[in-house]
Amino acid sequence: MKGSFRQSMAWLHTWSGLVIGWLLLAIFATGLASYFKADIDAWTRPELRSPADPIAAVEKGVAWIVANNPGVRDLTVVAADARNPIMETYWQTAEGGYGSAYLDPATGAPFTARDTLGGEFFYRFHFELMIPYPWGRYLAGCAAMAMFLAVLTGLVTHKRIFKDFFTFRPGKGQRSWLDMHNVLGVLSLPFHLMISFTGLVTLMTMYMPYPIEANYGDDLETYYSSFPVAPRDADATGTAAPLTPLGPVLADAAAHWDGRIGTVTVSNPGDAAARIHVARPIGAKIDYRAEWRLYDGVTGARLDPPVPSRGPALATEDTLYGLHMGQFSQPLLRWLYFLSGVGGFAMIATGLILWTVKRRPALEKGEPMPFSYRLVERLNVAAIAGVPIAMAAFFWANRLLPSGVEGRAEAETDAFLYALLGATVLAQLVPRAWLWRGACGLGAAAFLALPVINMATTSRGLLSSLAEGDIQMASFDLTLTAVGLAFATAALLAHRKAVIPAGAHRGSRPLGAAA
Amino acid sequence: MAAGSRRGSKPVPFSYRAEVAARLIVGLAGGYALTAWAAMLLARLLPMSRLEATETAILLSFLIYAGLLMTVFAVRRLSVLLIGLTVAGLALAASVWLTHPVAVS
Repeated sequence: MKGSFRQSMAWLHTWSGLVIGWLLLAIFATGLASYFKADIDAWTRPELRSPADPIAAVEKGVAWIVANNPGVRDLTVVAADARNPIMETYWQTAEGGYGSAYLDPATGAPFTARDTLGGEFFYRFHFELMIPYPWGRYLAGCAAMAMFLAVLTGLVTHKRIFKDFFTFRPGKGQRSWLDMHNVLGVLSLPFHLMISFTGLVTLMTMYMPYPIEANYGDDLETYYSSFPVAPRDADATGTAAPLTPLGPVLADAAAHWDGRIGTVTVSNPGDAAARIHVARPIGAKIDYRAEWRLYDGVTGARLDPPVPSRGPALATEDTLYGLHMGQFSQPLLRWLYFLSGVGGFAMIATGLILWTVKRRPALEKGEPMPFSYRLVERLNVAAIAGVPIAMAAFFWANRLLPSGVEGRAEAETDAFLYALLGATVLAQLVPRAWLWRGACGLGAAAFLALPVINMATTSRGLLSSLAEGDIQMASFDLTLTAVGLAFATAALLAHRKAVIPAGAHRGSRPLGAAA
Repeated sequence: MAAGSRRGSKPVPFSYRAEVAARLIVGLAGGYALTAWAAMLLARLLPMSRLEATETAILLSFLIYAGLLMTVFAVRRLSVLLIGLTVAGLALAASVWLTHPVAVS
């Protein structure tokens, strides 16, 4: 391109960031919510409580599946734990079909809690964007690649990374937005590089399948079977033998993982070749490598099949995948993940705002406002405020929709979608002076009302959570309040900028509230 | 900013827009094709087991693609860029073809 290397990289940074910025905001917001997927699962099902004894809960769940599916070939129960009050289960029936259910750890039976996708909705949206397979995943991949490119080009555009770290000049219009964008970018630069690259890694064989083709041709079976995995099942013998009590087996496995267990799979229950396979709990280590203990399903004796070692490339892949998922993180680190995500959201938001602020002086000289400027300015509002508002709408629907209605879970996701569409349309219609004030005010109302609605519609409101010492529910309500207060602050700042008469400022105005 | 400064009163010449469009297409499509060939070649030539080489090539491909996209917008003359990418593409595609195993198992 014309100009120096740095100039062309700055150009690439601007435009790759602008094109993908709105989509990235939605991906970031749902992604950082997914670090608390288990907690969202819990909050959206206030009828359920985390089990006091997860092992006993798994035993009950297995018993329920076996009792209701005679001759079941194998069954899997994802254990509940202190954060997660539901047991996800699936099984293969005697006829070879598949079944699945969410079970209540208290009873081991399907629960009667409200029908909701819970945290799964944000988790799925994060990489599928409510677009049918495979296109949503491809689009998310394009967004990850564009972000990776934007981070790299942003990096080489900088003259002085270290100095930028300590530079913030508030109240100076464009300069302040740039400083803020830089500080946010540099502060968690390792996170941004890591999260965009590892995002690509999570679905990498979908985005770059050609090396597999180069080495395996069409023979995908050989490719998949060449991953080193220890054998776990034995073929059914046809000889009946009662399943060993699960309690001692699970307790033995849990003793190796801080008293916790992950996913439990029982193959051929009731057969002489039954096997019990206990995976380590997600989050015991960074990497996502499967690690388990295998037991004989009849005697309960531990079997010790040799675990083949995984080479450096696979180990790297496991670790990168685990870094993206962040499930290994304990509370403090999980909050740092969350805050880095919030920082990333703010970095993208300030970058988008910067695009408009930079082009504003020309407009203030009385030049006509081009359509592109108007569109970007209003889409910025729709994405920056609209995505969080849509997430709040999901939680509103979760609390306000009656429990028994048909298609309740879909109605919740519709609430998200319609709120996002509504915000986008509204952002095109509102007078310019009211854009940011209105959007941030709406965001504040949407989030601040949630703890109130929770208190009014369930027995697990903030006050009773605090009284009971229920940290999970209380932190959730307090986080919603904090987001609401942040929106309220932004609305106030925007309002203050808007009521100061034009001309009182030199240069451009932050938050774009003034016409 | 090279392009950011042109706004409002001065219309952007068509040749500039055409060049940006050309680089975009060359970068997105041509860059991906080059990346795929390079990754296929790496998967065959890296001195590791077949599976390890495949996975390493996939992991590296995203860095290669990012590097190519930056190159596509950094090279000053479009003609130099197009010739360079064509030569590199032909060389990579030929190498992939030449390293094709006689019998894919």
